[in-house]
Amino acid sequence: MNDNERVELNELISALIDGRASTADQQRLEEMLAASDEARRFYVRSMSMSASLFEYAGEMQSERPEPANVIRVFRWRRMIAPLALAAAVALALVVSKVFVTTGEPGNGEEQPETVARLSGSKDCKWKGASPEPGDELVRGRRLELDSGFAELTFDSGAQITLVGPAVLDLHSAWEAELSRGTLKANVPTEAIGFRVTNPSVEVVDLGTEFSMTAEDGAAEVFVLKGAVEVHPQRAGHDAHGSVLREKQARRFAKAGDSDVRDRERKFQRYAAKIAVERLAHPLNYIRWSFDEGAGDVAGASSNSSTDAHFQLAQSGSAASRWTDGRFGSAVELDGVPALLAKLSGAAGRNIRSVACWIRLPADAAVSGAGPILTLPLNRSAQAWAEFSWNSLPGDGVVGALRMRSGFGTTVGTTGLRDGTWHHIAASFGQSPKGANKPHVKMYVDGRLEPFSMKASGRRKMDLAPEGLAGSLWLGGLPGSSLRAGMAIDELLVADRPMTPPEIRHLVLTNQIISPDVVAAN
Amino acid sequence: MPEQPADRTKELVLLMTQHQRRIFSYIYTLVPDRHSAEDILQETSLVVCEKFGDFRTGTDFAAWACQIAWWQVRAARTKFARSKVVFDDKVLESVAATAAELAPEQTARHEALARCLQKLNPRDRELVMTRYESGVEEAAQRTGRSMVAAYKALARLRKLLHDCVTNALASEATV
Repeated sequence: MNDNERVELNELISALIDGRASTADQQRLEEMLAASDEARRFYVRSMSMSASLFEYAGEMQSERPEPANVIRVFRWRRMIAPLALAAAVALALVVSKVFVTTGEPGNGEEQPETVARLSGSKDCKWKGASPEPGDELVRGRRLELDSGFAELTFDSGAQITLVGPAVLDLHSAWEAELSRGTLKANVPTEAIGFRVTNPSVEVVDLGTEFSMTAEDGAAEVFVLKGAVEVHPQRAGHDAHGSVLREKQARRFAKAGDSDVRDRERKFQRYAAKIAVERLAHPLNYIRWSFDEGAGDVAGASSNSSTDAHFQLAQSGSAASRWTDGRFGSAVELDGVPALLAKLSGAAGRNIRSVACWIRLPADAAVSGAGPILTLPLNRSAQAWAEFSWNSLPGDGVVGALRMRSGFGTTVGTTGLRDGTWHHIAASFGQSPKGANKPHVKMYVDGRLEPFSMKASGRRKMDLAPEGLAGSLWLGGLPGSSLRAGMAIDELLVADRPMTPPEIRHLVLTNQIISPDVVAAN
Repeated sequence: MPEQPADRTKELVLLMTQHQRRIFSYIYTLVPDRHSAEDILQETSLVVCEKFGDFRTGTDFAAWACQIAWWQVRAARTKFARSKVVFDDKVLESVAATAAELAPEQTARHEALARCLQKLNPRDRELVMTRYESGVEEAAQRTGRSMVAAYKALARLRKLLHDCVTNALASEATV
């Protein structure tokens, strides 16, 4: 077969597989197969490859990662029913046994999403299940605090101190409902838009500190710093809210809103600092500041004993170079980059959060989207992550941060292709009990990134990329190429999920916040 | 199905599980339509269950099952409308012979394919995986391509993957 014939044969086979081969195409294919052994081999291999692709795509469709030892019985969906229908009773029995004994988790239901964490507490007495400091709290959770103080840090970065007795429902990383009791909210700029609701009022934070009490269907709102938007919830009330500013307070009830009685005394009480006890685990990390600015090695620093430098000029390729960074210098990748840092020992298995600054060209072509960073996470083979920017309009915002892993794909909402530096961070939390997927939070410029697409498992490719074990790759894996340049600075990986305050501190100061500072309120 | 001791049944299930892809692949090569091939795979599985008593442990199960599949393909062809029959008998036989001859390399090619898929850029990989999961139309839509562009890209990517797998095996062989 010459090259032209090979191209023609490939085209005919592809048409056949995609169900668009004409009768003439089929005749031509038959002719070629009859004439040449080489053509037949090409054909058989192509069809086998197609069969493999059906299988890989089918595996992606399964909702959950499978442990390596699970024996997949009759994965072709259409096979199961007829087999059962046939009088193959013994066979069916064994099939079900295999499923049971290999411990397949029940169904593919979405695991509850975590939205906040109990970050501090003091003398807490809870009604019902009592969360421990450090516990992740899932969406929909109701907290009933009989007495004491509990500090919650939402994934958005908003912090609420609940003063018992109080009842709070967690609706999302951006919303909680106070039906009874008192809370004090501290909302950094990254979490502007965080809201606390109540049957009588909805409070939207504009970057502040405020207190709110709720009792018998009425609520009082006190602004300690900054401003909030308040939307009374009475029927017939116009939808326009009003703004409450510093030192202002308002009472909201079904009958209407009014001034707060005993205002000064209450302000004094709420302004008082509430000291809670916080658990502050140290963060073990490895950082690459890329501040060398010359030479071909980017060294790592770490607070645990690890050396994991990047070798910049690989085999004489000029595809990576130094450039001005967000802090100091940075490294810029173009063409065939794939910079590798070998992570030794535990560092390669225990990555639970990653953060860096990246700069993508404003004109980065959609067809040029390539991985920014690929790294292994802890535990199973499915736990790895590849960051890129989204180039698929059907998957969400084009140009937004995209993370693909053995567990699924998520796409954020903030466009990154604008030629300026953006801070990206991701943390991989502990799964709620019983679930086997880690949950991921992405932060762009310190702000929790809403997902424009989250395909948990549906687009699963459960194989860890080749060459990933114990290594961290910048700009894709070996063999891949970046068609658009990118610059990267201040890369950090750490051994536990970073909290929103830690990420915020890192973005603002380029420093790791010390556990003592965290513990000291 | 004749009664079989429990161990024997377990053996059957394991063998079917292990070799199912190879059997499917063989059928699909002869009947290049996914759904027809799956139907024939089901029928083949039933016959394999019935005749498992004839199978001698330790011999090549996949080859034995492919023999059964071959007769199922022949039988199915008489039922198919002309539109689904792609090859005449003579071509079918020579393709089947080639498929049997290439069977030993199949597992290695299957595994190399996974690595080659990883090397595709994300948009291309998305196109291929969506094509095989949900069809060309959805794949075109998801990746923002016209149908014609998707067909073209798929042909190009199949060739690319085919060559990648062949190269991977060749370089493994020389190491």
